[in-house]
Amino acid sequence: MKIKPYLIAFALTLPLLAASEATAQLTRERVVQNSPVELTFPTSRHIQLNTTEPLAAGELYYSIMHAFGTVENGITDFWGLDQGANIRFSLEYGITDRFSVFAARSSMDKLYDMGFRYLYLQQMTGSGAPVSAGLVVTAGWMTEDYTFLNQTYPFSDRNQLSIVMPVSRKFDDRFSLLLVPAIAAFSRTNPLLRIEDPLDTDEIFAGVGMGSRYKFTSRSSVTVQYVPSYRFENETVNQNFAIGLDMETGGHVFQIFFSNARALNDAYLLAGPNGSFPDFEFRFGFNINRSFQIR
Amino acid sequence: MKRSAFYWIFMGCLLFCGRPAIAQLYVATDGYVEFISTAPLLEFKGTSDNLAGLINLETGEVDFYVDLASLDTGNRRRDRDMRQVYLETDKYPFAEFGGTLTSHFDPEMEGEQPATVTGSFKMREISRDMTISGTIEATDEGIRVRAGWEILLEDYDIDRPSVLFYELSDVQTINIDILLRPHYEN
Repeated sequence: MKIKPYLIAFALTLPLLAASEATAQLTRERVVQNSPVELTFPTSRHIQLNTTEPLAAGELYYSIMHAFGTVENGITDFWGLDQGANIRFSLEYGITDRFSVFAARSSMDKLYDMGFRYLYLQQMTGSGAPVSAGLVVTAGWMTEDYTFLNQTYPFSDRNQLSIVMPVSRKFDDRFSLLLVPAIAAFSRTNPLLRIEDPLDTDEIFAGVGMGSRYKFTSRSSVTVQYVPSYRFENETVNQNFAIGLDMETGGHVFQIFFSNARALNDAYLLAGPNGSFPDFEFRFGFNINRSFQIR
Repeated sequence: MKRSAFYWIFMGCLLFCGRPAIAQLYVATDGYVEFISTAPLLEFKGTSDNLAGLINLETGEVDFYVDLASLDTGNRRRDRDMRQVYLETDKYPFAEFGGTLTSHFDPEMEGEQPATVTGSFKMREISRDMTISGTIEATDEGIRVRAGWEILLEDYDIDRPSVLFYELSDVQTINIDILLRPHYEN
């Protein structure tokens, strides 16, 4: 059989064609397909609420929270700054990437509290949980001497306990939502103990805090908070509002806000008095949050 | 059945010509890459074993990329900030280098040979032209590439913390070490 020259040429060219097709760029494929949704909120606090944001193992988180007096008197007391602030210092340490413990001290009622934070559900980018959920349990002791009340309060009358279960979802890079079912119990209540309880009968308070965050730049967010809380004995609902601004500067998160509550911990946020926004009974406050990696 | 002469020539070409021509292509997806940040108070590095690479010895074409979300600095908090705040890996997942091998490489020679590639390094959809020096070494398994170079984060519009504590250096040293294996197209 006589071989046609063009067939030989075709056969010899085949490998070259194959080689030239193989020079395409690598197809870009993501290695990490399903990862935890992170930084739903920039820090463990959202104005006065706890978030689902956990600490890393070995991370030391330090926050200073302030809530000044109400702005209603204007420049007379410099919009509440002259009234003195409720200041809360807290230190929190990450035992694992999901579990941390903390201790804090608030100037209001000279309150010491301590507790733990546990993240039991983590929102994922792909398949997995659609939300993150955590648990924060705090036990506190009021150490104010209350001598001005002409009565004594033993240690057993000074205790408070709060359990909050923040649930959050990050919808996109800009918008996050937070729901915080919460309950608090006091071993004794009294309006002079900063608890809004006209009948002096309530011991248990419950509510569902709500918060959201909208990032308008890569480092800045506007934040809002609403905490309706229910008094079981009085059957009344008290309402807390707050609006704020978060600024991330790398390492630090600064939060400034206006809130109608002076409370800086969960128990007082549910049980404490809330002013009227239309009557300018709200106050300026700010939080400084800083993290250190020590292990 | 009697085979035609054309059949035998065709099969011979596939057997003896095809494989060496296609084996000019070397690829891998398990290379090592590290990003080293040397700040005044702190040095750390993010590493990944998911560097993907391609070299076509015939055309000189090189192509490397890594999924930046796979970088691990050994600190979850820092990883989180790196991915979410600085690199924004959900939006810009890859760091890439594409270019051309401009130095000669002899696959028959033993030991490391100096190599130079010219191309562009791309992160966050920003490309910067650069020339990178390294070494290429022919091994029994394929060819091994090692290289290192520096980039400036500001060149890629990466916003660093700018108050008090500098945790992230603007200068990032990138080192790669990858064994590329022969790749045969089916």
